[in-house]
Amino acid sequence: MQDLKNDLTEVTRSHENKWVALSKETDRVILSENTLAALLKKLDRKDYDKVILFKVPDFEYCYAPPINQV
Amino acid sequence: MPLQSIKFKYRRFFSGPTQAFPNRHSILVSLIPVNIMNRDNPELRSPVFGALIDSGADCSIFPAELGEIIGLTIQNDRLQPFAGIGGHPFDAYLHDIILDVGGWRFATHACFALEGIKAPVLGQSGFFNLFEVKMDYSKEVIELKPRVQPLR
Repeated sequence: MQDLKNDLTEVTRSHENKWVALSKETDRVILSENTLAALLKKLDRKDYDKVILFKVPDFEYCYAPPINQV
Repeated sequence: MPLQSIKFKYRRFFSGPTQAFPNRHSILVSLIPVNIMNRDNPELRSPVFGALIDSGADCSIFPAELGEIIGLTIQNDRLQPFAGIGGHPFDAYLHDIILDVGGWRFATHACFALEGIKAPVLGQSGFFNLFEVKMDYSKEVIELKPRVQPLR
């Protein structure tokens, strides 16, 4: 089983709708930005192996499939 | 030798109660960690990022920024228009990439959108064609079994 630590509720609780760079262990937020572009700008390439990026969802809205082709 | 399967856990995020779900305190999301590489130069790769497995998406689609950091010039001659469920159209561009899932690398493709999507999505073409996908919401487990031989 990959990445057994699946509960991100507490670590991302104060980052609603943000892009975050979590530690590989997903136990702490290293960077948090409003956009992916801003996050990548601050993230050094040498640190790519140390993080995992997530888009934290909106805490109220439900997700629906967004992209059916025209 | 048949390829083994790989299992991931759903990711759990905080979610506040709503009128529809007054007792909800969290949600499970079918996010798995992946990264992508430039097909011509695999040393150009992205950080690992959470991508949503979405069988309702016709193809994999990622934010343009992820393509740019692996050296892609997003706007090419492989334009694919999309429309959201709310009817808001946007354009994306198809590119050949390498997709790394749990250490397995696959030559595949994905669309990259300059706008219109909030998070990376793994869809039918580009992902579901690579794997037999079993999603067990109750057990909070996603199991992937490759249909094709990985690059390594």
